[in-house]
Parts: sequence; C-alpha cells; structure tokens
Amino acid sequence: MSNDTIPEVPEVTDSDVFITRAFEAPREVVWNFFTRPELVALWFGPKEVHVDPASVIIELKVGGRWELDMVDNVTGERYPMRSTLVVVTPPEYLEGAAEALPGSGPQNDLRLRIWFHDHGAKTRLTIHQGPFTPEFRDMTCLGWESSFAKIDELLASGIA
Amino acid sequence: MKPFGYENWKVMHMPTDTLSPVFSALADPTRRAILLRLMDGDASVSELGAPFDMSQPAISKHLRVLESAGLISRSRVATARYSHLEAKPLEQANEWMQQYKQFWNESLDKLDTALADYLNSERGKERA
Repeated sequence: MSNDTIPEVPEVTDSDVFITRAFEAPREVVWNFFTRPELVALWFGPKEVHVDPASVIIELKVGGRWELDMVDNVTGERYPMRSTLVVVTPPEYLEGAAEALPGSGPQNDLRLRIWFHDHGAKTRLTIHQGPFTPEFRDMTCLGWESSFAKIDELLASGIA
Repeated sequence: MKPFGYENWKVMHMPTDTLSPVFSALADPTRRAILLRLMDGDASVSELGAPFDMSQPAISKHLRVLESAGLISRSRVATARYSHLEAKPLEQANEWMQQYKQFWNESLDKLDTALADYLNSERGKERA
C-alpha cells in the first residue's frame, strides 16, 4: 500500500471487527490525541491501566515507531504496545502494523486502521483492527456476529 | 468480560500465523455455513454439500481449507469421509476479536473524557 492511499471505510461498520464513534471535538484535535505523545498518554488503554508518559515514542512518518507502555493501575505490571506506522495522512487516516509480541517485529497482517471524518461539528472515528489477509480485507463482515453468537453458545454448552 | 490484565494483553499479541488461516477460512460464506452445520454433529461430504448448488469436488475443496486452518478434522468411515468441528481455533479467533472490541470501547470512553477536559481547559485559556 502506498503512502497516500486511504482505503474506503467498508459499508458494514457495525460488526465485531469495526468500532465507530463520534467525538465532540474538531478533527485536528482528535488526530492530535492519536499522534502527540503527551496527549496519547492521557487516554490510551482499557480502564484498568494508564500510560507511562515517559514510555511514549511516536515518530509521525511512514516507517516511524508508535510505542508506549500501559501500566496496571493496581499491580504496576507493564503491558508494552509496539507498532510501526504504515500510512500517515494527517488529519484523515492512520495505519499501523503491530508486533505480535514485543521484539518480534511488525507483522504485515496485524493491522490497525483509523479513519478520522468530519461529522458536523463532531469527528467520527472508525477503527478496524484485524489480520488482513486478502480474503479478510475484501469481505463484508455480515454473518460474523451471528456465527460467533452460536459458537459462544456451543462452547458454553461444552459440546466442543 | 474480565478486567484487562496480562492474559488479555497476551491474547491481543497472539501471533497472526495462528489466526490468519482461521480468519481466511471464515471469510467465505459457504465455509461458515459448513461450520454451522457441523455444530449439529459430524457429517459426510454429501450431507454437507446438500444445501448448496455445488459439486462434491467444490465442497471437498472448502473442507480442505477448513482442515488446514484446524477448524475441522476428518475421518473415514467405510467409504465416506466424515468432518468433525474443532472448536479451539474458533474460540481463539472469537476471544481475539472480543478482546480488541473491549480494548477499544474502554479506550475510547477515556478518549471522550480526555477530549472534553482538553477542550474545556483550552476554552478557559481563551477566556483568561
């Protein structure tokens, strides 16, 4: 994928692998919250963790690093996130390749793709995370939710 | 959902050479339908092909993809080959997806608050 290619947001965005949400902030500000270390440190990670501000390294260019350590609020255990930026198109689109395990190097198909759209006075974020094999990249994600719901039932019932 | 911790972090860093074949196999609607059928029990190639307007070799090809992804195992009974659902890879793929969903939903809740605080303090600076 070349530097200036922004993939279309797939039509089906309410499936498991897509998350979309609107924020009460201008697009440039939301973009900065993903790309400026001191701002990323304010929010990234689930509620049980915080970001060690000193651990954030963001080199905002193709091939640049996007790295930080999340720290468990209770135990202090560190959870490193290591990725390489693949596409950087401010303030519209950001794509990164994550390392499967820190030190293992970026994996081509473990991608995070983030679209930033104007949505009236708000900004709409669409996040797509997945192993993007060619088949997976092109598929519409209809059918997953129901398939997985059934699988959950099956596993819960102890059949499999 | 469990609170975020080392186990969740580990799931998110699952090597994709395990997951990719599973997601590729699941990307096809016929193969998903075959898996759903196998949840009701083991089945032969002709039983699996019955709902589809598809030749037996075409069905067999789908079964080989599912088998190489570890999603089914196959055994021979007399002249028929029976397919059996292997749930482990599905469970892993599902866990992986649910993990990311929870991770981002919780992160974006925090982003929402952080943005509001930031914009409020910027407005405060303008007024001052």
